[in-house]
Amino acid sequence: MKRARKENLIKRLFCLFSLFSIVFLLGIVIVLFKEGLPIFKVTSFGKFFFGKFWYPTYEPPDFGILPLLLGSLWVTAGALIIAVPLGVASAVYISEVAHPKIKGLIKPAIELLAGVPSVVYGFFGMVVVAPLVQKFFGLPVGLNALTASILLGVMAIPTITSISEDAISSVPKSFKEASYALGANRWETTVKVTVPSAAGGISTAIILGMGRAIGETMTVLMVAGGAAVIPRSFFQPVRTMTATIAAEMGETVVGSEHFHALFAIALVLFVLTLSLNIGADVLTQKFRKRLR
Amino acid sequence: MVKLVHSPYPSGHRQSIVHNETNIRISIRDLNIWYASARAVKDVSLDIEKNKVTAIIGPSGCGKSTLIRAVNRMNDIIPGVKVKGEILLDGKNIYDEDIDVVTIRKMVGMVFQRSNPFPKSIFENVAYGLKINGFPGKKKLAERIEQSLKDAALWDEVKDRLGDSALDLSGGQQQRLCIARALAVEPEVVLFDEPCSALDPVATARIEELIQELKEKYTIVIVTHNMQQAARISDFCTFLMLGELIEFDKTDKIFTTPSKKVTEDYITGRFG
Ligand SMILES: Nc1ncnc2c1ncn2[C@@H]1O[C@H](COP(=O)(O)OP(=O)(O)O)[C@@H](O)[C@H]1O
Ligand SMILES: [Mg+2]
Repeated sequence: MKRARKENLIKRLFCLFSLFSIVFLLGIVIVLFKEGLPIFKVTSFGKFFFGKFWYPTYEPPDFGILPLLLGSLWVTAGALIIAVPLGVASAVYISEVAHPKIKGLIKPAIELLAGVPSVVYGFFGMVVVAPLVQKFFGLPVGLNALTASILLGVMAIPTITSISEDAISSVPKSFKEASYALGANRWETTVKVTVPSAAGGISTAIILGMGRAIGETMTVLMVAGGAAVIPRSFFQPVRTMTATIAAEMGETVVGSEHFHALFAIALVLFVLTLSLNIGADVLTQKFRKRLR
Repeated sequence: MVKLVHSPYPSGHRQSIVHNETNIRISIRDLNIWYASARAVKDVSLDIEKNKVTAIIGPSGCGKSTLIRAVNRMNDIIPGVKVKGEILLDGKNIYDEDIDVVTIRKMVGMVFQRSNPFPKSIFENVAYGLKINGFPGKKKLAERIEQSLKDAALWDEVKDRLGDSALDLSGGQQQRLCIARALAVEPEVVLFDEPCSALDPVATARIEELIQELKEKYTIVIVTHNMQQAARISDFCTFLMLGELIEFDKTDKIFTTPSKKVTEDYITGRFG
């Protein structure tokens, strides 16, 4: 009797703990809406999303987030151009090609990459990558979209690699056997059967990697250059939504228009990353069903 | 390595009583196969005749799969497998060093226990083997795919939906698709490893019927745990136990007057 009560208590306690994160999430959502929506009293939806100027401290202010939105998408696209081939190739190498010993070396190394704090990436970007980019391309400044993309790409690689590797190594052995039995060699089997069979999982990996790049703040704040203009090339400084919030939040008056505008940006970010996560989930489910 | 004379028909070979010797397609000679250190196939010798169905029966774990997979060198992809002995395909040892595995696997096709179509369209499944072997021309490819699907008795059921995913087919259809996929590369020998073990009786009957038709064109080896199936569809029958060949003979003889007591016990269901 006493034991049953004790167990019950423990069960409830754990239930409470797990509810905690849901409560937190709800709190965040409520605050984002409550503090973000008021901006649309002073600026229209169209002006907010498609306005070309972000001058929050001018009189009158301009709250157009198009340059910031495009800045985020721009560096994210650049990051994916770097991270997708490298990340997927590493995953293929780790799960299909590498000798177990080499695998035991590369896998932890890539996972370690995920553990490096983003401020360290930013620092490394400022003192190493930016000067190299500047010199190599003969640019006036090294802090630009390209430098940010390179760093974000490296940061997204662990996500893409580890999830892709899971997907590739869970492709049923029977598919590979069928391929070998038809006279295919290891390379043909990997490229034409194993990787396509893992396409669902690999897309999930890419989407999550994209989420990682879009949400990254510190690194882009340090290396992207910070110019709130619509990006036209990878060699110009850009500013992302995340960097804007981080840089400006400390200087706004609580409850001001600028304050609400920053919350509205946060809301946009939240919705973006949420949709990416849902998209990744849907793909994972579809993938599971396909392989029975 | 036991070196034998490189003739497929040595005098005094014990299968010579069973076979019409000029029709032998595959000769397995003193074959031994090890996984790590455990020997799964022990000193097996048998001859497989052209355009006939040869069945391999025996209790589960006796080495049937290991033996049949040796014939297209599928055991090569399992790490730690060691093979000793010879398998002569048209008189040439497929384990010789100068032999290209790809050539062997094209000549000896295989259908597995669990149907394993690729998660691709029906068309792409059958086209796969042809494409990796550099089959030229779209039109010819389509013709060959149609022919293979017809040979596998699947064409009428899928001809209007070749672009659909192979995974939408029923279990029996999937297995026939796997047969079509194997036939597409025009093998000479087709190996079946318990092809019906996951199928219902109706689907099983269709596959059995199909195998009867296929032997006109191909040499067939089939592993089965189903004694009635072996009796119904095979011309020759091998009984394996604990990796050893106990008896090999014409199927009629095995099922009516087996020469060993264990064989009789097994086929009458006294164990296994
Ligand atoms: N991949 C493998 N690694 C190690 N041992 C194996 C492997 N496959 C089969 N075996 C062993 O070899 C023996 C024969 O197996 P198998 O040929 O699959 O038998 P059957 O097909 O007659 O059921 C069994 O004892 C089995 O445990
Ligand atoms: Mg088996």
